[in-house]
Amino acid sequence: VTDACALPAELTIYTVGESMPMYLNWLQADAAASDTLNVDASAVAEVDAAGVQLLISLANGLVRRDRHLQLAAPSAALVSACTLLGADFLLAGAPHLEPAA
Amino acid sequence: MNTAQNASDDSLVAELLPAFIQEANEQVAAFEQLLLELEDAPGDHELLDALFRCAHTVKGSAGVFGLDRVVAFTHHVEGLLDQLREGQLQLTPGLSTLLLQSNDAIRELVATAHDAVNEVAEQQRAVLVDRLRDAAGTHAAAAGQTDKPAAASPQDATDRRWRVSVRFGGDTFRNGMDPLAILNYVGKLGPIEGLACERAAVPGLEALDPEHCHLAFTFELQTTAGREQIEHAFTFVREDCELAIEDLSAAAEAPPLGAAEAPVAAAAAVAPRAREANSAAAMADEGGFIRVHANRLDEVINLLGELVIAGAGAALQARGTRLRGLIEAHQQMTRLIEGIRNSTLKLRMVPIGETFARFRRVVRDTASELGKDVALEIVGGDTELDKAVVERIADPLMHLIRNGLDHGLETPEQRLAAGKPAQGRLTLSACHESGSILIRIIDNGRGIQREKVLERAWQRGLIEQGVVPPDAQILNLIFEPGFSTAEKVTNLSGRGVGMDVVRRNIEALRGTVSIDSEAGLGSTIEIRLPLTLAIIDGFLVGVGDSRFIVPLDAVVEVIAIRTEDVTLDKQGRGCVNLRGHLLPVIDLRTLYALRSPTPERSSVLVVGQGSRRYGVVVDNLLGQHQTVIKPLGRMLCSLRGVSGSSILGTGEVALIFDVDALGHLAAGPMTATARSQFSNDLATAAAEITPAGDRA
Repeated sequence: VTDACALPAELTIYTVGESMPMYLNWLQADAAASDTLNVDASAVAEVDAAGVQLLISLANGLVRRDRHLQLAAPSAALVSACTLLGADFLLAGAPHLEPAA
Repeated sequence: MNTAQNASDDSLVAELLPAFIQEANEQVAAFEQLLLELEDAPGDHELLDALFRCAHTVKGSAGVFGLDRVVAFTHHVEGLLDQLREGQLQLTPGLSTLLLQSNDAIRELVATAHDAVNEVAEQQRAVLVDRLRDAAGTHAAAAGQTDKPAAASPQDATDRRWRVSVRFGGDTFRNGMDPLAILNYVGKLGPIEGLACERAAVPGLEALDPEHCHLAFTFELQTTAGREQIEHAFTFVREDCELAIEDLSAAAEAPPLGAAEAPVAAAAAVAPRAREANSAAAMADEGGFIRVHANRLDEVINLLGELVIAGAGAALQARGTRLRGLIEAHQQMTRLIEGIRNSTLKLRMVPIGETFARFRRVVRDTASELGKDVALEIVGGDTELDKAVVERIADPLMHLIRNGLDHGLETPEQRLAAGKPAQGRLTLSACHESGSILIRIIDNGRGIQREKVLERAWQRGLIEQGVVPPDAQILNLIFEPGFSTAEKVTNLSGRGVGMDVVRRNIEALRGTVSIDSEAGLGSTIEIRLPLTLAIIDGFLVGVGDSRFIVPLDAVVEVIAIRTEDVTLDKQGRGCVNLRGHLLPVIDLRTLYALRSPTPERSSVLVVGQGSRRYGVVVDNLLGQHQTVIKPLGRMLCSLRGVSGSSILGTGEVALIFDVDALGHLAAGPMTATARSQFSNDLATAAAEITPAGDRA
């Protein structure tokens, strides 16, 4: 199931609302399988602060379940957005996913 | 809008100029208030920013109208304010006075914007400009000539470090704003460092509304841009985001607060003023209002008054036809008229705070003139009352405040000697109480010595020699004409023309004034005013053929009595037993000598104001009535206990009670003068009222 988790090309205020059920599925499905949720982030071409906020929220939700978000092969657009918004913890691997102090 | 340059737009400019002058005056007034608040809370950035905005707005709009003198002068004020904002200068009492004087000059300039150049004023202004320059310039020199080289090479010492914290409002995304784009823009001002997104502020996915913005950031910015430019980046989200910009360079360079020069009135309580400050700041950049000429509003209210009367008449006619449909239609209309009345009267309601705030300057200047240290506290500034009342109460209030400063409060030495804190306190408070507004002026000064007042009253023949009235009345003798106890006549008060004029002005507004004082501890002056001068909710009662109206807010309850159970004296005063308490009552038939047979049963209207209760004996109760207040004719003006008249739907005239004055008639003992005045009133009243009764 984890292989099926891939971020859409557009991760913005226009899509976050309608995609919520999908992300909630990721959060709930397959909790036993692994403590890391692997998400393919290579397709993200357009991202805004609402999109980054959603990823932070997803990461926070996972942390509460003792799991981690692992963004695989993040696109350049996503990397620059996360950096600019001070959310680079999303880009790092599992060890860095503890909530910031 | 650079319309001024265009000759064809001259007429437009001429048309808009009055609006500009009014707006500029509001800004100038707000400037003064903010500055005075800033004295109590030096270093408050929001106040400083609002202050700067005021000056900037005046400058900007003056520029549009081509008022170059205003622009040139305001520019210097702005320069000084900018230094205060950047933390390069501290607000000292001297600076504050300079800014106040400059503000006065701006007001003057705006008022005389289109007059010929006045040489004297011009010179005075030149002096002010020099002083403003000096004030702003001394720092530049002291800081080691950083300013001039900075202009040449931007990467010099003016490259400052700022810490910015921003919490975006929940609707940021929905409003089409993207914090990403904003941070991107900020990044162009200079390198952003240590950017941290507050991760904990974003809820877990289960609790997330993905379109609600939870983002908050803290970062440091190295830039040559000023505070204004950084703020500018957040312009589009400014309304609902929390933004804090801290100048880290200033913190490092400048000595800690208060070390250099003691900021003004550092001891003043800052916290309780914060809210006032916010409201003043909000006032300064208000939006979404329509300016309406007061005359038009008055016209609407006059028409409304007629509509209320006509509506009542029509409803009465409808009842006469006994057609249910018609009656219901009229009831519906009555309700609508009531709705219109309430909302229209609200249009005239303004908070009294603006009037109160004007006194900050008066207190500041007067106190320093007298060598006193006085803190002004304002309570209940958001209490609303009719604009006309607000305007007309300002003068009496001013007089009472000056009086309090002059006679009531002592000099710091005297206060310390009396074991009180050196700083005196003057409190202005306002609140609503049973359909009227209660304004209190409280000082903690030396209070009033009853013996002195009494002596003076005897000496002036205000009361008979040796007669000692009750305590509460002694103090109120100071409102009698020709009374003054000041040992030294100052130019502020003490000419003996004050207090009786104050009382007359307040009574002209259908208000009352009274004073209470404890020697050594201070005085309290209470002013009660009606909320509006136009229309009230009344309770209509009848005695024989005459109709009277009591303000509905003052009616506590109604009880039925048997007429023979009440024994009345010659002035119609008596008592009834109200659940074990003695209630003073007054009989209108006796009081106003109405010639009509006494019914077997009557009602007592229990009326109250403040903690006082009394009863009014009437024949019948006619229910709630929308009352359009008309002034009393000259013949009836001296009639005690009545404050106005109203026209009923039938065309009859009803008299409106002055609850307070009637209470004095019901419960108060009478002095000799009052008694003779009273019998005069009775004669007049009898003469005036009987024909009205006959006509009905």
